[in-house]
Amino acid sequence: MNRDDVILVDTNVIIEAHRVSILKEILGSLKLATVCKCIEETQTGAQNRDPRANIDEALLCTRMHIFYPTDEQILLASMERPGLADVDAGELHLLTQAHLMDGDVWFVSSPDKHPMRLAIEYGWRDRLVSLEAVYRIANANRKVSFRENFTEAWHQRVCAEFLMQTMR
Amino acid sequence: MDRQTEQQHLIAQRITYFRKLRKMKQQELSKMMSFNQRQTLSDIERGERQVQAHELVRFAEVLDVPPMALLDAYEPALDVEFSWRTDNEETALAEFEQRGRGILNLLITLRRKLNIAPVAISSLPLGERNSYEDAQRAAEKFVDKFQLGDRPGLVLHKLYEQLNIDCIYLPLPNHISGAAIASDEALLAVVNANQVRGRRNFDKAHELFHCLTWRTMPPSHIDHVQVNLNAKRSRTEQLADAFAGALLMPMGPLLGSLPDELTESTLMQVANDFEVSFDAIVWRLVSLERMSKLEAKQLLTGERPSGDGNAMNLRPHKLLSESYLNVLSSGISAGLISVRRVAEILGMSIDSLAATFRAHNLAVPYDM
Repeated sequence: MNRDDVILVDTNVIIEAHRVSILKEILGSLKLATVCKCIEETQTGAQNRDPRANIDEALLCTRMHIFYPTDEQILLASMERPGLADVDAGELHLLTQAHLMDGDVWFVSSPDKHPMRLAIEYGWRDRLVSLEAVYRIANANRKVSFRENFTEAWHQRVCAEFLMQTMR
Repeated sequence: MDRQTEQQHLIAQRITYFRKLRKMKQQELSKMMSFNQRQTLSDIERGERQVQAHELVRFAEVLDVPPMALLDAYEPALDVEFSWRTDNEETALAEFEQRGRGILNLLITLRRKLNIAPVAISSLPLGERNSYEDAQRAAEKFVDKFQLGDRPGLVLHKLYEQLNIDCIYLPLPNHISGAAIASDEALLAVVNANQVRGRRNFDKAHELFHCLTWRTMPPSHIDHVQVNLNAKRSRTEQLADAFAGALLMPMGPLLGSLPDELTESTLMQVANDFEVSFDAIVWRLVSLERMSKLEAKQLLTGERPSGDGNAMNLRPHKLLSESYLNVLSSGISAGLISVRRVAEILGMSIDSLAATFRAHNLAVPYDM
């Protein structure tokens, strides 16, 4: 992965990047992208976090590429990728976008085991990245205390676990 | 089962479910789908023929459901019956029923995905013709058989576990005490976490009776409690109350704990000791003929301190239950459901879900 590659990030990644104050930094140096549904979920009304964080929607909309998968695309992706329909709304839209971009160079970052497991089953293991790895690529040397699910160690452990299951 | 087959089976089950819900025969749906032969639909519903994307869209149109409802295992599509305990006759329960359906479906779907075999749920051989004494005897037998001791209210969760019935606590509006929810695959008792302790325990015991007798004595959809002391409640609900009273206050231990003088103050102490409400102990004493109805009504009309004088009674119960959380934890850890999806179905934030795991001394299956 290099700095010019598109990295699709989910709601949780955006909220964590905001929490540890690296959002502006990574938005400024990498090609981060997401889907409209995840942007909605980062906003206070739909965050499902307690306490809620005030994340600058305008910043996200101007510094990220935002995709808008249609209902029809989501349905077709869900038919072609069994299990996809079970994820939450933000991940559903994000993984649909990943599915639509299959063949292009892109990476996807999520701290949740469900989308990670599906991504590995779909053969996207090499396209999964942790937020910690994303931050390193942004050439940032500052020490950041990520929550465990955003660390590279957790990411590698989970990838290995699901890869083993897929091979069985 | 691989994912493709799992999806095919889910679509088949959903089409059958929604067809029956719309009271349509296979022939009728086949015609609307423009299938040349009814066999095609029959094969689809048996999971023997794959549904194409354009067919799925057409099925959704004809059955009047969003297309994703045919693909999403966590979108509830199951027959569920509810029995609510509420003291507000005007309660709009539709919203809570939708939530309850999702919560029960989450449990059933995760168990299926985790290959947890359905367990045999216990039942009680009682019907409406049985007497209150029969219900009380059945409760006292449980106390002995499952060794619940002298204060069963303190260990009711163990009884639920042994009977393979789930009971969870949720923050419900004040006027709803609880509910029993039943489907073909599972029974779930829901208790309002914010009620005072004694009332929670009584609801828990009352809902247990419904869970154990659901097939022989289906409960009322709405049990209006405490709306009017003179109002006639259904026999099933009265039997459930008799069962609950005897389960929480077995005759021997209760009579052995009674003071010489039965006053508001002495009875409140006994009620707190048994973790039941003042009302519950008074009516139990009436049923044991230790108090007349007139004496009971006189005692119940008096003003009492909130929480019957014990601050612990006012503390909300920790949410959900250990057994329910264990299933969620396994599902999240195995990558079978996203944390955000669980939180959405339960109607709580990701952070309060984590706090709930911690409150039960369980490891939180995520740190995000």
